[in-house]
Amino acid sequence: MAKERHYIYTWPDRLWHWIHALSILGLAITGFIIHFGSGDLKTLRFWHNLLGFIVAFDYLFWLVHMLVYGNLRHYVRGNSWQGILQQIRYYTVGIFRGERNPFHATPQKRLNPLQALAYLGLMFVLVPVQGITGLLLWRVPASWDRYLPVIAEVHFFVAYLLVAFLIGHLYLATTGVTVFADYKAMLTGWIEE
Amino acid sequence: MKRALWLAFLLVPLVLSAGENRGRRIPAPEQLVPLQTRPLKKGIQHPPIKLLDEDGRPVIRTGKPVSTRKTCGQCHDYDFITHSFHFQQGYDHWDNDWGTKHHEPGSYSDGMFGRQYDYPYYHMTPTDWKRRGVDFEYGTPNWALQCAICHTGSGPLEYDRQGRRLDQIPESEIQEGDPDFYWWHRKADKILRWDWKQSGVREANCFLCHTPNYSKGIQDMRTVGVGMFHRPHFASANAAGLISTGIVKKVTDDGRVVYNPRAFEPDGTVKPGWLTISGEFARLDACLQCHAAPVVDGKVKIWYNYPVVRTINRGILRKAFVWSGENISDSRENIANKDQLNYPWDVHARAGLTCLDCHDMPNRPGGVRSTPQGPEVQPVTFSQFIKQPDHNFGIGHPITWKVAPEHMYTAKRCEDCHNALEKGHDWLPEKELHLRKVSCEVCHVPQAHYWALNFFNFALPKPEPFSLHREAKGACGEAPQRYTFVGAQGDPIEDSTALITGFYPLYIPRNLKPGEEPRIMPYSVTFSLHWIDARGERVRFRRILRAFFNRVDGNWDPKPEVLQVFDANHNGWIEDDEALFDTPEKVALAKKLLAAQGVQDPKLELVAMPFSLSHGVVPKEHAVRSCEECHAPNSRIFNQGKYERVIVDRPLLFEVSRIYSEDYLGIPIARVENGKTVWDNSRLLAGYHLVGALEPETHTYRHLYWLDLLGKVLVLLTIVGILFHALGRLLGGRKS
Repeated sequence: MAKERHYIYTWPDRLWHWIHALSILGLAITGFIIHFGSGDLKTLRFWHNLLGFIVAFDYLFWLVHMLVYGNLRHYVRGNSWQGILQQIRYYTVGIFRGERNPFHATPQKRLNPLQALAYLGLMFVLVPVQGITGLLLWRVPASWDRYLPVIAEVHFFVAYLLVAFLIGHLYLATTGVTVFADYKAMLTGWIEE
Repeated sequence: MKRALWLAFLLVPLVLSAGENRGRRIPAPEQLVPLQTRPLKKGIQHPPIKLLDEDGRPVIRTGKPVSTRKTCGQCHDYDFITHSFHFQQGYDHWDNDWGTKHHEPGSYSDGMFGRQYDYPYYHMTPTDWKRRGVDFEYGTPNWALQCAICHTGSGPLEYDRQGRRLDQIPESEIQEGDPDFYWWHRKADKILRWDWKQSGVREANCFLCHTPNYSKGIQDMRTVGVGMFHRPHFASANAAGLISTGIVKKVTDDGRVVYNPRAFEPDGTVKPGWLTISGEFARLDACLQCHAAPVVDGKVKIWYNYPVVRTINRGILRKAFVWSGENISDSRENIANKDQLNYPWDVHARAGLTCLDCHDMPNRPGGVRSTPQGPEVQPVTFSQFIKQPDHNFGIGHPITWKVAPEHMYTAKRCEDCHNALEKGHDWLPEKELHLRKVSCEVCHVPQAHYWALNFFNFALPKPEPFSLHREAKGACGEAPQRYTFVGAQGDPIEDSTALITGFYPLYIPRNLKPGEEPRIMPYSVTFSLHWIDARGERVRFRRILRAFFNRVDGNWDPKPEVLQVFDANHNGWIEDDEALFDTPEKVALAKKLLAAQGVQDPKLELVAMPFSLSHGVVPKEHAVRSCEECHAPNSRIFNQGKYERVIVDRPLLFEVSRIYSEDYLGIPIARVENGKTVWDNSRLLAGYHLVGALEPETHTYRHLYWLDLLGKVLVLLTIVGILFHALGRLLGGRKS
């Protein structure tokens, strides 16, 4: 059977994604070193802040691009409870039996319902919360001083969630047609079915 | 001046040799020479004065002790001046219910007269002690014998608690057991009547601070009756210190003063040149007599020898407070790594500042005091000031000592002269935030370079103190203590060649201006172990004595059961390290013995008394500049690693720990770790998020402990889940 190829990730998608990925990785590394108090704090802090701003601008780029080009549909359209349950069943049962993924990415709908739900939470809750708390930690308004520990608590906990997400994301990206198919897709834009 | 000094040199050894030493170390003669650290500038000279006695007659004719009330009161308002806190010492705030109102049962005022402190360990006796059913422990005479060598007279040393002059009250009006007229005779363990008419009262000692060649040492001896004197006499103490000026030749044991006729004009006026009255001296050197140690000829000027450091001034005892502009490296003190300490003891001392520059008076013309709105110049005329100079000197933001709460925050802060936000500090990340959260002293007073007291064990004290006074207790600090030091090798410091290592401050948040949010401040902290009862009141010393000791032939000997549990080396005595409550058996026995003395629910309490380190400011090149000093796991701020403060190198079994202040109620301040009892300020700093500074015990941020744990579990579960999932995929035979 001939393989189907779809161009699903445009260059802005890929550029955004890889900038985001590398920056988040850098933020996690510098953040945890800062948090656990080793290394040159001043340098670490500089890189953490710089990467934080890169992610912030990258996020804004993603948001504008998504709204302008209508990419929001990937996250909100075509999702159903049935689809979500189907996807959960696949990841928890079907995948071990060698069944095919019930979802097939197309340029019109590139995220399966479970992915869409997870990314909605990531991009509309976790990343903004982390960004806002990060900005507050960077420059705390005088009247907010007393909330500093709470802000730090939220920032730090979300960091753990993001790291857990990142690990899960890296793993689930191996569940494509081949182990590296999804990685390749995010590099070239083309996905094979 | 020279003649007076020679006289002092000659007189003091003579009178000392006549005194009864009884094996005690008496201050070396040169240490009784009046303190003067620098030549006085020539300025406005004080006019010649007549020295008058209590009846207003020239002393040269009557031979009575000089009365400052009458002498200085000729031009200055004595009552106005002595109503300030240096003289009142809490007397004016006395309230039998003060302790109940301020969560400090057993204290009766906010000052040294009435409030419990760590040293000496004693309880003042409330006027209604019989009704309250508390022990009579310290009467006003006890306080006079113990504290009057530093406290400058008047207030409780002149008046009873009803405001009557102590030596002028008819016998018929004195009630039995009135703590102003009765005292605890410690050796006999009896409450005895004190004869104020015989001892006289201590009027304010104006000479102490205004006469450069006045001898505080002789005044002290005269007060408590040691050295050349055999019994206390308060009324003549002020005159006794004038021996070093040559005006006074001798003070007899019964208080008669022999004046030098050559020093007086026929009308009783002191001839020019015999008595210097100096405002200049009072600006700095006078304060150093009690509050700090100056450096004279390269040596830190403490009054007495190391073995009796209990009697030296409070600035050293509490916070290693050396005030000098000389380089530490130039000191003749045996200080560790001295060569590297090539900066002054304090940059402000180097700049020539005096105490008054920051601790100004409320009404000195041109003087500046700190206010919540910033520094304010006093709008007062000179004539007004001469008549009524207000001696309520500016005070800062003490945690423990609040002798005059109405004058707190009036000393100048760094910010009153330096604008750290606008000038310099550009290298500092989050400059504004740092300056808002951290006091200047955290970086600019990085270390104390002298020694201070560290820990007192009052839970099982020594029954017989070294005592300057033979029958009561001795001078300030002469309580029956077991104590240790921080900042010098050897504990206690018995060897005058002991290497002085200095110590790192401990950090506590404190609001440094009224209404301002707390900032982290460096402190020197002394710790003490006490017994408290069910009311939270420290168990009175007399009860502790009776609980642990038997009186045998006038001596207090440890009870056999106490020796059995505490006397590890079986030498019949309890050494300092044996007296530490580090085993459940010791605690259980002590509780049983205290309960037998009527103490309800006794508990061991570990108390911290912090004294702020605002002096000892180093040049900016030597200030803390590395972020990692504070923002790292072994943080300076949390006193970890090399900054750790070991209170006792044993695991003390205290049940409560706290800072001695109602501002920090219910916050524990110590923990036992690796068999040691160490300072722990992590709960005090719970409102701070110090990035990178992991707290002891939890090895994370205290406020993040559970979230941190949850986050780690979450990440771990993710990894474990993935591993199982991947394994399942492999076993399931899926190729991809």
